Amino acid sequence: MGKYIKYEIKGSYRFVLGVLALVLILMTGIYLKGFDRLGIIGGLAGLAIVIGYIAEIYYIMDSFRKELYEDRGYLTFTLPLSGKQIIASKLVVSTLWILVIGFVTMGYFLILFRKDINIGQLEIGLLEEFLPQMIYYGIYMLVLGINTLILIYLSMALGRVTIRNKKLGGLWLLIFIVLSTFVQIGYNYVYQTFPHYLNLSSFNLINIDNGAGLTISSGSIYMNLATAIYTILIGIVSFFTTSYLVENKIDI
Amino acid sequence: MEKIVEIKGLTKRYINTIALNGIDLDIEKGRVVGILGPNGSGKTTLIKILAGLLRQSKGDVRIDSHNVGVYTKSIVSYLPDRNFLYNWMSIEDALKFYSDFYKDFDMKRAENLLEFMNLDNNLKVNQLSKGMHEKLNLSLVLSRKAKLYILDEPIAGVDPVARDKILDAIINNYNEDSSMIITTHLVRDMENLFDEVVFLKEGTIKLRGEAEKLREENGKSIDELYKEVFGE
Amino acid sequence: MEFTDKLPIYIQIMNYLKKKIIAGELKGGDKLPSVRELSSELKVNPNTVQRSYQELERENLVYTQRGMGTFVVEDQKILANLRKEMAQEIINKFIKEMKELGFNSDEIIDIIKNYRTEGK
Repeated sequence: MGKYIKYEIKGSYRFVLGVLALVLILMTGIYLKGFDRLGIIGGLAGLAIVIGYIAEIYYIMDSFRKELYEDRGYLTFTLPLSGKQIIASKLVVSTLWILVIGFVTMGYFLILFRKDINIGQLEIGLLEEFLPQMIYYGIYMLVLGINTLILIYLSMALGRVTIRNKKLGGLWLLIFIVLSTFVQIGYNYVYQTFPHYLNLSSFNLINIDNGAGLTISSGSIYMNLATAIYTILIGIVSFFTTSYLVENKIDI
Repeated sequence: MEKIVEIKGLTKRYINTIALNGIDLDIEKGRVVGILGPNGSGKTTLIKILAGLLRQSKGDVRIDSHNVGVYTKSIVSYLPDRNFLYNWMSIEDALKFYSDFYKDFDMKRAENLLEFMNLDNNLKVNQLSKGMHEKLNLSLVLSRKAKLYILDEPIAGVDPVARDKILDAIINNYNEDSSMIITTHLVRDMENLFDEVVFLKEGTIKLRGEAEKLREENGKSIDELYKEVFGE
Repeated sequence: MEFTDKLPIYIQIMNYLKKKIIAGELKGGDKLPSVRELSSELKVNPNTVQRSYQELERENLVYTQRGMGTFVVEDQKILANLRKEMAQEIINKFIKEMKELGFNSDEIIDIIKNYRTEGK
């Protein structure tokens, strides 16, 4: 499987690094323009990063769609690899790029505009207090992102499945909307039924009514335990289902 | 004789059509079998099921006594009727790719074949003409020491010079431990290669037999037989 | 070499080789090309060439030595017979076709005589 990861990277790095370079150049341009308000800088730079991100995510999704609908699938799906190996490899590489883009753009932003971001003593203190929570929050967001990606893969795979001689077909987007709606309904049900929250800094357990999956209250981030488990379960089930479909049920 | 492929009652249905209708077909080790028929006869469907790209609606398909899956993909070398290499690859990349994923890949043989086909390793896949694609893909496929080679229309849409090289490569690849399944509608050019031929029409086998015997019994070339079976 | 539709390929290959033997291109004791070589040259399935070689061996025109190859027999009598046989086959065919065209034996002999005197 490591070999397949290698080739996934080989196939995508040019685009990813290209867009990344563009975003960095844009940010440098913003810096050189010398806007004097942090708000404008933040806004424009943020926009560049977001656009870059969207381009990358689209590219990543599209690469799986290409496997299912274009000639390259003839190569990928005749390799002696299991469905799990193929899907896992794609997820690993996608996650890698998401992290790379995130860290590089954020890091560059901080370096470039450190003078504008006045980090005084107070703020460093605040940062120290919030950093662990921010990291947990970041991980939580990452897991959510990967889950969404797996759900997208699942939707695309379902579009290529033949059940009882009928192709499920249809726009994968439609299938995705249906699936994520159900997932969301389940999600809402879970946190309403199990309102047990974990404080991400003190790790105390409390009950909150009318919370959501993640709530911020009086400076602390609270994560609903049940939804966390639910999210992970959904991710695992989606992964195994997609792998199974890709190995046993799709028609290319 | 050992059987490398055993197909029983193979059916592939779509909502409105039946692509394959109850196919029974066994192929022995060391044989070169031609699956002949016009477009839409089900040849490619049959091939894709053997390659693992399509699922059968009904029936058993066994390759080397295994169901189609990860193992069979490691012993089957498949040449599709399209350009399936990743767009970003160079020929060099493709060689490394095959070498990485297939234990039975013979790099030396591949390099020799590429030289024979006049293909430069540094060329990029997206720079190649259709003929060059065919020659490249075939070189990769034949460089594996596979138990079963499946070639889907290896010389269709290819100029006569490339065609000769491809036929040469196929003949030279012959060995008694492997079997080959070749589909084509260009019967005249390929019929001398086959030990056996199978005539596929609208999803069923219309005629099957040893090529030489069929020629003798009918006093015709396979090509003429083909025209008889499929002619208007 | 062009293959016709009328005869099995392996027989056509046998005839091709027989002609070479008679014409002296393949002499007694000479090694025939390997199955692989010949199949590549003629663009046919190696099994077909294999069969031709086996049939020729059955007709005592060639013999196979394991690991070394297939060779034309050295027995001059056999080779002479082969020459006679093939010639006879061609002549029989010629006469049959001429008779089908309506020529009788005398006419046929005349034609052949003229053919000879015209120095061809």
